[in-house]
Amino acid sequence: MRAFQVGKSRIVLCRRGDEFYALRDICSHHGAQLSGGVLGGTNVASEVGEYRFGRDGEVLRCPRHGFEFDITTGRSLHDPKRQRVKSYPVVTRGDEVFIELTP
Amino acid sequence: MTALRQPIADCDVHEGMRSFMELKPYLAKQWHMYLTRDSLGRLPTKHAYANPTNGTTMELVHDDGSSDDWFPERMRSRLLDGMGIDYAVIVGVVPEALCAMPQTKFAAAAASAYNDWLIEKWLSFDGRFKGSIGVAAQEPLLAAREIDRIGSHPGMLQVNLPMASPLMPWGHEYFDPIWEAAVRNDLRVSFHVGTPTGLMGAPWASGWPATYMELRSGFIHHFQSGVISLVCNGVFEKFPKLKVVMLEGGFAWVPALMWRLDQSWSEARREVPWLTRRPSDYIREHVRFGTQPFEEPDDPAHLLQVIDMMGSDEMLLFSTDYPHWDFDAPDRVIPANFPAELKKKILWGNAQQFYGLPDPVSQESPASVS
Repeated sequence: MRAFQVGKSRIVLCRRGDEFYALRDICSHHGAQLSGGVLGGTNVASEVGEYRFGRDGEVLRCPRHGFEFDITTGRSLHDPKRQRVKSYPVVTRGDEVFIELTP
Repeated sequence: MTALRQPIADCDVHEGMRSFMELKPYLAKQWHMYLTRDSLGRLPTKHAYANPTNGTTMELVHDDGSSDDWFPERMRSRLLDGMGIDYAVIVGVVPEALCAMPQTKFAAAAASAYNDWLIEKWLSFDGRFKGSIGVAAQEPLLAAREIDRIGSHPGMLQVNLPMASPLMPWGHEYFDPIWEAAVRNDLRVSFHVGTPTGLMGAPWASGWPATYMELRSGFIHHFQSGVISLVCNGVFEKFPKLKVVMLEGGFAWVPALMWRLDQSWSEARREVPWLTRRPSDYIREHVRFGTQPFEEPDDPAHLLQVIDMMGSDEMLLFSTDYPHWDFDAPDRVIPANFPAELKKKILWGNAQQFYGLPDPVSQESPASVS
Protein backbone atom coordinates (compact mmCIF):
# COMPACT_ATOMS: atom_id res chain seq x y z
CA MET A 1 0.00 0.00 0.00
CA ARG A 2 1.39 3.40 -0.96
CA ALA A 3 -0.05 6.90 -0.94
CA PHE A 4 0.45 9.51 -3.68
CA GLN A 5 -0.44 13.09 -4.14
CA VAL A 6 -1.29 13.85 -7.77
CA GLY A 7 -2.23 17.47 -8.25
CA LYS A 8 -5.03 17.99 -5.77
CA SER A 9 -5.89 14.30 -5.54
CA ARG A 10 -4.72 12.03 -2.77
CA ILE A 11 -4.56 8.45 -3.94
CA VAL A 12 -3.84 5.23 -2.09
CA LEU A 13 -2.59 2.40 -4.25
CA CYS A 14 -3.17 -1.07 -2.82
CA ARG A 15 -1.52 -4.21 -4.02
CA ARG A 16 -2.87 -7.70 -3.66
CA GLY A 17 -0.55 -10.22 -5.32
CA ASP A 18 -0.16 -8.98 -8.88
CA GLU A 19 -3.28 -6.87 -8.77
CA PHE A 20 -3.46 -3.17 -8.01
CA TYR A 21 -6.36 -1.06 -6.81
CA ALA A 22 -6.46 2.68 -6.38
CA LEU A 23 -8.78 4.55 -4.06
CA ARG A 24 -9.18 8.13 -3.03
CA ASP A 25 -7.08 8.39 0.10
CA ILE A 26 -9.73 10.23 2.07
CA CYS A 27 -12.23 8.35 4.17
CA SER A 28 -15.81 9.14 3.17
CA HIS A 29 -16.75 9.34 6.84
CA HIS A 30 -14.57 12.00 8.48
CA GLY A 31 -11.82 12.48 5.95
CA ALA A 32 -9.00 10.54 7.59
CA GLN A 33 -6.16 9.32 5.41
CA LEU A 34 -6.97 5.70 4.59
CA SER A 35 -3.34 4.92 3.75
CA GLY A 36 -2.58 5.30 7.45
CA GLY A 37 -4.83 2.33 8.15
CA VAL A 38 -4.45 -1.39 7.74
CA LEU A 39 -4.75 -3.39 4.52
CA GLY A 40 -5.75 -6.91 5.44
CA GLY A 41 -8.76 -9.13 5.93
CA THR A 42 -11.75 -9.09 8.17
CA ASN A 43 -14.34 -11.27 9.83
CA VAL A 44 -16.75 -12.25 7.10
CA ALA A 45 -20.38 -13.38 7.30
CA SER A 46 -20.64 -16.31 9.66
CA GLU A 47 -22.97 -18.35 11.80
CA VAL A 48 -24.04 -16.54 14.96
CA GLY A 49 -21.34 -16.84 17.58
CA GLU A 50 -18.62 -17.97 15.15
CA TYR A 51 -15.81 -15.95 13.67
CA ARG A 52 -14.47 -16.58 10.19
CA PHE A 53 -11.55 -14.59 8.85
CA GLY A 54 -11.46 -13.94 5.14
CA ARG A 55 -10.97 -11.50 2.25
CA ASP A 56 -7.35 -11.19 3.27
CA GLY A 57 -5.67 -8.33 1.45
CA GLU A 58 -8.94 -6.94 0.11
CA VAL A 59 -10.07 -4.78 2.98
CA LEU A 60 -8.66 -1.38 3.87
CA ARG A 61 -9.53 -0.29 7.38
CA CYS A 62 -9.54 3.40 8.20
CA PRO A 63 -7.11 4.30 11.01
CA ARG A 64 -9.63 6.58 12.70
CA HIS A 65 -13.02 4.90 13.25
CA GLY A 66 -12.27 1.53 11.73
CA PHE A 67 -14.58 1.80 8.72
CA GLU A 68 -13.76 -1.03 6.35
CA PHE A 69 -13.55 -0.51 2.58
CA ASP A 70 -13.44 -3.09 -0.17
CA ILE A 71 -10.35 -2.03 -2.15
CA THR A 72 -11.78 -3.53 -5.34
CA THR A 73 -14.81 -1.25 -5.34
CA GLY A 74 -14.23 1.48 -2.77
CA ARG A 75 -17.47 0.55 -1.06
CA SER A 76 -17.64 0.16 2.71
CA LEU A 77 -18.56 -3.24 4.07
CA HIS A 78 -21.19 -1.98 6.51
CA ASP A 79 -23.05 0.47 4.27
CA PRO A 80 -21.89 -0.06 0.68
CA LYS A 81 -24.49 2.25 -0.81
CA ARG A 82 -23.87 5.33 1.25
CA GLN A 83 -20.32 5.02 2.57
CA ARG A 84 -17.89 4.65 -0.31
CA VAL A 85 -14.69 6.22 -1.53
CA LYS A 86 -13.86 6.87 -5.13
CA SER A 87 -12.18 3.97 -6.90
CA TYR A 88 -9.88 4.59 -9.86
CA PRO A 89 -9.19 2.19 -12.73
CA VAL A 90 -5.64 0.80 -12.71
CA VAL A 91 -3.74 -0.58 -15.68
CA THR A 92 -0.38 -2.33 -15.50
CA ARG A 93 2.09 -2.50 -18.41
CA GLY A 94 5.16 -4.49 -17.56
CA ASP A 95 6.61 -2.98 -14.43
CA GLU A 96 4.61 0.21 -14.77
CA VAL A 97 1.33 0.90 -12.98
CA PHE A 98 -1.03 3.55 -14.38
CA ILE A 99 -3.87 5.09 -12.46
CA GLU A 100 -6.59 6.68 -14.55
CA LEU A 101 -7.56 9.89 -12.83
CA THR A 102 -10.96 11.10 -13.78
CA PRO A 103 -12.25 14.46 -12.61
CA MET B 1 -63.38 7.39 32.29
CA THR B 2 -65.16 6.79 29.04
CA ALA B 3 -64.78 3.93 26.63
CA LEU B 4 -63.44 4.87 23.21
CA ARG B 5 -65.42 3.86 20.14
CA GLN B 6 -62.73 1.69 18.66
CA PRO B 7 -61.05 -1.63 19.42
CA ILE B 8 -58.35 -1.48 22.07
CA ALA B 9 -55.74 -4.02 23.05
CA ASP B 10 -54.14 -3.36 26.41
CA CYS B 11 -50.76 -5.06 26.31
CA ASP B 12 -49.73 -4.72 29.95
CA VAL B 13 -52.21 -5.60 32.67
CA HIS B 14 -51.39 -7.05 36.07
CA GLU B 15 -53.63 -9.43 37.88
CA GLY B 16 -53.46 -9.30 41.62
CA MET B 17 -52.79 -12.13 43.99
CA ARG B 18 -54.00 -12.05 47.58
CA SER B 19 -50.92 -13.94 48.64
CA PHE B 20 -48.46 -16.43 47.24
CA MET B 21 -50.54 -19.06 49.06
CA GLU B 22 -53.06 -18.83 46.22
CA LEU B 23 -50.62 -20.99 44.27
CA LYS B 24 -50.54 -23.76 46.87
CA PRO B 25 -53.24 -25.91 45.24
CA TYR B 26 -51.28 -25.82 41.98
CA LEU B 27 -47.88 -26.53 43.50
CA ALA B 28 -46.65 -30.12 43.90
CA LYS B 29 -46.38 -31.24 47.53
CA GLN B 30 -42.59 -31.45 47.58
CA TRP B 31 -42.52 -27.68 47.43
CA HIS B 32 -44.94 -27.00 50.27
CA MET B 33 -41.98 -26.97 52.66
CA TYR B 34 -41.35 -23.41 51.52
CA LEU B 35 -44.91 -22.22 51.97
CA THR B 36 -44.54 -20.94 55.50
CA ARG B 37 -45.09 -17.38 56.64
CA ASP B 38 -41.43 -16.53 57.15
CA SER B 39 -40.21 -18.22 53.97
CA LEU B 40 -42.76 -16.47 51.81
CA GLY B 41 -41.75 -13.18 53.37
CA ARG B 42 -38.28 -13.66 51.93
CA LEU B 43 -39.27 -14.48 48.39
CA PRO B 44 -37.86 -12.13 45.78
CA THR B 45 -41.42 -11.38 44.76
CA LYS B 46 -41.16 -8.83 47.52
CA HIS B 47 -40.19 -5.50 46.00
CA ALA B 48 -36.81 -4.14 47.09
CA TYR B 49 -38.06 -0.53 47.16
CA ALA B 50 -40.83 1.18 49.06
CA ASN B 51 -43.01 3.13 46.65
CA PRO B 52 -44.16 6.60 47.75
CA THR B 53 -47.31 6.21 45.65
CA ASN B 54 -48.18 2.60 46.52
CA GLY B 55 -47.87 -0.16 43.95
CA THR B 56 -51.54 -0.57 43.15
CA THR B 57 -53.40 2.66 42.55
CA MET B 58 -55.12 3.71 45.77
CA GLU B 59 -58.35 4.05 43.81
CA LEU B 60 -58.60 0.26 43.92
CA VAL B 61 -57.40 -0.42 47.47
CA HIS B 62 -59.93 -0.91 50.24
CA ASP B 63 -59.82 -0.33 53.98
CA ASP B 64 -59.52 -4.06 54.69
CA GLY B 65 -56.32 -4.19 52.64
CA SER B 66 -57.87 -5.95 49.68
CA SER B 67 -57.71 -4.48 46.21
CA ASP B 68 -59.89 -4.83 43.13
CA ASP B 69 -57.16 -6.40 41.05
CA TRP B 70 -57.47 -9.61 43.08
CA PHE B 71 -60.87 -10.25 41.55
CA PRO B 72 -61.40 -11.10 37.86
CA GLU B 73 -65.00 -9.86 37.96
CA ARG B 74 -63.92 -6.44 39.21
CA MET B 75 -61.14 -6.26 36.64
CA ARG B 76 -63.69 -7.11 34.00
CA SER B 77 -66.11 -4.41 35.01
CA ARG B 78 -63.54 -1.68 35.68
CA LEU B 79 -61.01 -2.31 32.93
CA LEU B 80 -62.62 -4.31 30.13
CA ASP B 81 -66.13 -2.92 30.26
CA GLY B 82 -65.35 0.37 31.97
CA MET B 83 -62.59 1.44 29.60
CA GLY B 84 -63.68 -0.48 26.54
CA ILE B 85 -60.64 -2.77 26.45
CA ASP B 86 -61.21 -5.64 24.00
CA TYR B 87 -58.19 -7.68 24.98
CA ALA B 88 -56.15 -7.33 28.12
CA VAL B 89 -52.78 -9.08 28.09
CA ILE B 90 -52.03 -10.17 31.64
CA VAL B 91 -48.35 -9.94 32.50
CA GLY B 92 -47.53 -11.66 35.76
CA VAL B 93 -45.15 -9.89 38.05
CA VAL B 94 -44.94 -12.83 40.45
CA PRO B 95 -43.35 -15.32 38.01
CA GLU B 96 -41.00 -12.78 36.52
CA ALA B 97 -39.63 -12.10 39.99
CA LEU B 98 -39.07 -15.85 40.41
CA CYS B 99 -36.32 -15.44 37.81
CA ALA B 100 -34.25 -13.84 40.56
CA MET B 101 -34.30 -16.94 42.76
CA PRO B 102 -31.15 -18.94 43.33
CA GLN B 103 -33.43 -21.87 44.30
CA THR B 104 -34.04 -22.47 40.64
CA LYS B 105 -35.97 -25.74 40.81
CA PHE B 106 -38.49 -24.22 43.18
CA ALA B 107 -38.73 -21.14 40.96
CA ALA B 108 -39.54 -23.36 37.99
CA ALA B 109 -42.18 -25.29 39.93
CA ALA B 110 -43.74 -22.07 41.21
CA ALA B 111 -43.85 -20.63 37.69
CA SER B 112 -45.71 -23.74 36.51
CA ALA B 113 -48.14 -23.40 39.39
CA TYR B 114 -48.67 -19.77 38.47
CA ASN B 115 -49.47 -20.68 34.86
CA ASP B 116 -52.11 -23.20 35.92
CA TRP B 117 -53.55 -20.70 38.40
CA LEU B 118 -53.64 -18.00 35.71
CA ILE B 119 -55.51 -20.22 33.29
CA GLU B 120 -58.04 -21.37 35.85
CA LYS B 121 -58.69 -18.10 37.64
CA TRP B 122 -58.27 -15.51 34.89
CA LEU B 123 -58.10 -16.84 31.35
CA SER B 124 -61.07 -19.13 31.84
CA PHE B 125 -63.08 -16.33 33.39
CA ASP B 126 -63.28 -14.14 30.31
CA GLY B 127 -61.81 -14.71 26.85
CA ARG B 128 -60.76 -11.07 26.71
CA PHE B 129 -58.11 -11.81 29.30
CA LYS B 130 -55.00 -13.10 27.55
CA GLY B 131 -52.05 -14.61 29.33
CA SER B 132 -48.27 -14.57 29.51
CA ILE B 133 -46.42 -17.74 30.44
CA GLY B 134 -44.20 -17.42 33.47
CA VAL B 135 -40.92 -19.33 33.49
CA ALA B 136 -37.78 -19.62 35.55
CA ALA B 137 -35.47 -18.17 32.92
CA GLN B 138 -32.38 -18.92 35.00
CA GLU B 139 -33.09 -22.56 34.11
CA PRO B 140 -33.55 -22.23 30.34
CA LEU B 141 -34.18 -25.93 29.71
CA LEU B 142 -36.87 -26.11 32.38
CA ALA B 143 -38.31 -22.89 30.99
CA ALA B 144 -38.49 -24.40 27.51
CA ARG B 145 -40.19 -27.49 28.93
CA GLU B 146 -42.79 -25.32 30.63
CA ILE B 147 -43.38 -23.35 27.43
CA ASP B 148 -43.98 -26.63 25.61
CA ARG B 149 -46.29 -27.84 28.38
CA ILE B 150 -48.58 -24.84 28.40
CA GLY B 151 -47.80 -23.00 25.17
CA SER B 152 -50.68 -24.37 23.12
CA HIS B 153 -53.31 -22.94 25.46
CA PRO B 154 -55.34 -20.57 23.28
CA GLY B 155 -55.29 -17.85 25.93
CA MET B 156 -51.50 -17.70 26.13
CA LEU B 157 -49.96 -15.13 23.79
CA GLN B 158 -46.41 -14.91 24.99
CA VAL B 159 -43.67 -15.81 27.42
CA ASN B 160 -42.99 -13.04 29.91
CA LEU B 161 -39.54 -12.33 31.31
CA PRO B 162 -38.08 -9.66 33.56
CA MET B 163 -36.25 -6.97 31.64
CA ALA B 164 -33.42 -7.30 34.12
CA SER B 165 -32.03 -10.69 33.17
CA PRO B 166 -30.77 -13.26 35.66
CA LEU B 167 -27.09 -14.28 35.51
CA MET B 168 -26.14 -12.68 32.19
CA PRO B 169 -27.53 -10.47 29.44
CA TRP B 170 -30.51 -11.78 27.45
CA GLY B 171 -28.59 -12.11 24.21
CA HIS B 172 -26.30 -14.79 25.57
CA GLU B 173 -26.78 -18.21 23.97
CA TYR B 174 -27.47 -19.60 27.44
CA PHE B 175 -31.06 -18.43 26.96
CA ASP B 176 -31.49 -19.84 23.45
CA PRO B 177 -33.78 -22.70 24.57
CA ILE B 178 -36.34 -20.10 25.65
CA TRP B 179 -36.43 -18.32 22.28
CA GLU B 180 -36.50 -21.66 20.51
CA ALA B 181 -39.48 -22.84 22.55
CA ALA B 182 -41.34 -19.55 22.10
CA VAL B 183 -40.98 -19.74 18.33
CA ARG B 184 -41.86 -23.46 18.33
CA ASN B 185 -45.12 -22.63 20.09
CA ASP B 186 -45.84 -19.55 17.99
CA LEU B 187 -45.58 -17.30 21.05
CA ARG B 188 -44.19 -13.80 21.42
CA VAL B 189 -41.84 -12.83 24.22
CA SER B 190 -42.42 -9.86 26.50
CA PHE B 191 -39.85 -8.22 28.72
CA HIS B 192 -41.40 -6.39 31.62
CA VAL B 193 -39.90 -3.84 33.92
CA GLY B 194 -39.07 -4.88 37.44
CA THR B 195 -36.77 -4.11 40.28
CA PRO B 196 -33.78 -6.37 40.02
CA THR B 197 -32.85 -8.47 42.98
CA GLY B 198 -31.20 -11.81 43.65
CA LEU B 199 -29.69 -13.31 40.49
CA MET B 200 -30.47 -10.17 38.52
CA GLY B 201 -27.95 -8.02 40.34
CA ALA B 202 -28.30 -4.31 41.05
CA PRO B 203 -30.73 -1.98 39.26
CA TRP B 204 -27.88 0.09 37.92
CA ALA B 205 -24.42 -0.98 36.82
CA SER B 206 -23.20 1.50 39.42
CA GLY B 207 -25.34 0.01 42.18
CA TRP B 208 -28.52 0.84 44.01
CA PRO B 209 -30.19 4.23 43.55
CA ALA B 210 -31.34 5.81 46.79
CA THR B 211 -34.94 6.62 45.84
CA TYR B 212 -37.81 5.01 44.02
CA MET B 213 -37.97 7.97 41.67
CA GLU B 214 -34.39 7.38 40.54
CA LEU B 215 -35.08 3.69 40.18
CA ARG B 216 -38.13 4.26 37.99
CA SER B 217 -36.43 6.88 35.84
CA GLY B 218 -33.45 4.60 35.36
CA PHE B 219 -35.38 1.51 34.30
CA ILE B 220 -34.58 2.44 30.70
CA HIS B 221 -31.05 1.13 31.34
CA HIS B 222 -32.35 -2.42 31.37
CA PHE B 223 -34.37 -1.96 28.25
CA GLN B 224 -31.48 -0.46 26.38
CA SER B 225 -29.00 -3.11 27.45
CA GLY B 226 -31.55 -5.82 26.71
CA VAL B 227 -32.20 -4.57 23.18
CA ILE B 228 -28.48 -4.14 22.54
CA SER B 229 -27.73 -7.64 23.77
CA LEU B 230 -30.50 -9.37 21.81
CA VAL B 231 -29.59 -7.60 18.58
CA CYS B 232 -25.79 -7.81 18.75
CA ASN B 233 -25.67 -11.43 19.81
CA GLY B 234 -27.66 -12.37 16.75
CA VAL B 235 -30.75 -13.71 18.53
CA PHE B 236 -32.92 -12.46 15.66
CA GLU B 237 -30.58 -14.04 13.11
CA LYS B 238 -30.86 -17.38 14.90
CA PHE B 239 -34.60 -17.06 15.46
CA PRO B 240 -35.96 -15.00 12.58
CA LYS B 241 -39.54 -15.58 13.70
CA LEU B 242 -38.96 -14.29 17.20
CA LYS B 243 -40.86 -11.10 18.03
CA VAL B 244 -40.50 -9.36 21.35
CA VAL B 245 -42.13 -6.48 23.18
CA MET B 246 -40.61 -4.26 25.84
CA LEU B 247 -43.14 -3.29 28.50
CA GLU B 248 -42.96 -0.26 30.77
CA GLY B 249 -39.73 1.15 29.48
CA GLY B 250 -41.14 3.96 27.36
CA PHE B 251 -39.99 4.56 23.81
CA ALA B 252 -38.58 8.06 23.34
CA TRP B 253 -35.06 6.70 23.78
CA VAL B 254 -35.41 4.20 20.93
CA PRO B 255 -34.24 6.46 18.06
CA ALA B 256 -31.13 7.47 19.99
CA LEU B 257 -30.30 3.83 20.68
CA MET B 258 -30.83 2.94 17.02
CA TRP B 259 -28.42 5.65 15.94
CA ARG B 260 -25.84 4.66 18.47
CA LEU B 261 -26.04 0.97 17.59
CA ASP B 262 -25.79 1.68 13.88
CA GLN B 263 -22.82 3.91 14.49
CA SER B 264 -21.06 1.30 16.63
CA TRP B 265 -21.78 -1.26 13.95
CA SER B 266 -20.21 0.87 11.25
CA GLU B 267 -17.04 0.94 13.30
CA ALA B 268 -16.96 -2.53 14.84
CA ARG B 269 -18.92 -4.65 12.38
CA ARG B 270 -16.20 -7.31 12.30
CA GLU B 271 -16.91 -8.11 15.94
CA VAL B 272 -20.47 -9.19 15.07
CA PRO B 273 -20.01 -10.56 11.55
CA TRP B 274 -23.21 -12.61 11.84
CA LEU B 275 -25.37 -9.51 11.57
CA THR B 276 -26.56 -9.17 7.99
CA ARG B 277 -28.37 -5.87 8.49
CA ARG B 278 -27.95 -2.70 10.46
CA PRO B 279 -28.88 -3.13 14.14
CA SER B 280 -31.75 -0.66 13.78
CA ASP B 281 -33.27 -2.85 11.05
CA TYR B 282 -33.54 -5.74 13.51
CA ILE B 283 -35.18 -3.47 16.06
CA ARG B 284 -37.77 -2.22 13.60
CA GLU B 285 -38.61 -5.76 12.49
CA HIS B 286 -38.49 -7.68 15.76
CA VAL B 287 -39.00 -5.34 18.69
CA ARG B 288 -42.14 -3.55 19.89
CA PHE B 289 -42.59 -1.16 22.78
CA GLY B 290 -45.44 -0.79 25.23
CA THR B 291 -46.57 2.83 25.50
CA GLN B 292 -46.92 3.06 29.26
CA PRO B 293 -45.67 5.16 30.94
CA PHE B 294 -46.49 7.38 27.99
CA GLU B 295 -43.80 9.97 27.36
CA GLU B 296 -45.02 13.46 28.28
CA PRO B 297 -42.88 16.16 26.69
CA ASP B 298 -43.98 19.78 27.08
CA ASP B 299 -44.84 19.83 23.39
CA PRO B 300 -46.66 16.65 22.30
CA ALA B 301 -45.67 17.37 18.71
CA HIS B 302 -42.20 16.22 19.67
CA LEU B 303 -43.55 12.70 20.13
CA LEU B 304 -44.63 12.59 16.51
CA GLN B 305 -41.05 13.46 15.63
CA VAL B 306 -39.81 10.62 17.83
CA ILE B 307 -42.09 8.15 16.07
CA ASP B 308 -40.89 9.51 12.74
CA MET B 309 -37.29 8.99 13.88
CA MET B 310 -38.05 5.41 14.88
CA GLY B 311 -38.77 4.86 11.21
CA SER B 312 -41.99 2.95 11.77
CA ASP B 313 -45.38 3.70 13.25
CA GLU B 314 -45.97 0.02 13.90
CA MET B 315 -43.70 -0.37 16.90
CA LEU B 316 -45.89 1.01 19.67
CA LEU B 317 -48.43 -1.12 21.52
CA PHE B 318 -50.86 0.60 23.82
CA SER B 319 -50.71 -0.51 27.43
CA THR B 320 -52.30 0.73 30.63
CA ASP B 321 -50.27 -1.05 33.33
CA TYR B 322 -53.57 -1.39 35.17
CA PRO B 323 -53.93 -1.54 38.16
CA HIS B 324 -50.62 0.05 39.07
CA TRP B 325 -50.34 3.57 40.42
CA ASP B 326 -48.92 5.03 37.21
CA PHE B 327 -51.41 3.46 34.82
CA ASP B 328 -52.42 5.18 31.57
CA ALA B 329 -56.09 5.60 30.69
CA PRO B 330 -56.84 4.93 27.02
CA ASP B 331 -59.08 7.96 26.62
CA ARG B 332 -56.60 10.39 28.17
CA VAL B 333 -53.10 9.38 27.39
CA ILE B 334 -52.68 9.65 23.63
CA PRO B 335 -52.11 13.31 22.75
CA ALA B 336 -54.87 15.03 20.82
CA ASN B 337 -52.45 16.01 18.06
CA PHE B 338 -51.86 12.38 17.06
CA PRO B 339 -53.46 11.62 13.67
CA ALA B 340 -56.46 9.28 13.87
CA GLU B 341 -54.72 6.55 11.86
CA LEU B 342 -51.72 6.52 14.17
CA LYS B 343 -53.93 6.48 17.24
CA LYS B 344 -55.79 3.49 15.83
CA LYS B 345 -52.56 1.65 15.16
CA ILE B 346 -51.26 2.28 18.67
CA LEU B 347 -54.51 1.33 20.39
CA TRP B 348 -55.30 -1.68 18.29
CA GLY B 349 -53.74 -2.37 14.88
CA ASN B 350 -50.14 -2.84 15.96
CA ALA B 351 -51.07 -5.25 18.75
CA GLN B 352 -53.48 -7.12 16.53
CA GLN B 353 -50.72 -7.68 14.02
CA PHE B 354 -48.08 -8.49 16.63
CA TYR B 355 -50.15 -11.07 18.50
CA GLY B 356 -52.40 -12.16 15.66
CA LEU B 357 -55.48 -11.17 17.65
CA PRO B 358 -58.88 -11.85 16.10
CA ASP B 359 -61.20 -8.92 15.53
CA PRO B 360 -63.15 -8.16 18.69
CA VAL B 361 -66.57 -9.77 18.73
CA SER B 362 -69.51 -8.98 20.94
CA GLN B 363 -68.69 -10.45 24.33
CA GLU B 364 -70.78 -12.39 26.73
CA SER B 365 -70.77 -9.43 29.08
CA PRO B 366 -72.76 -6.27 28.29
CA ALA B 367 -71.19 -4.10 25.60
CA SER B 368 -69.29 -1.07 26.76
CA VAL B 369 -71.09 2.22 26.57
CA SER B 370 -69.53 5.49 25.57
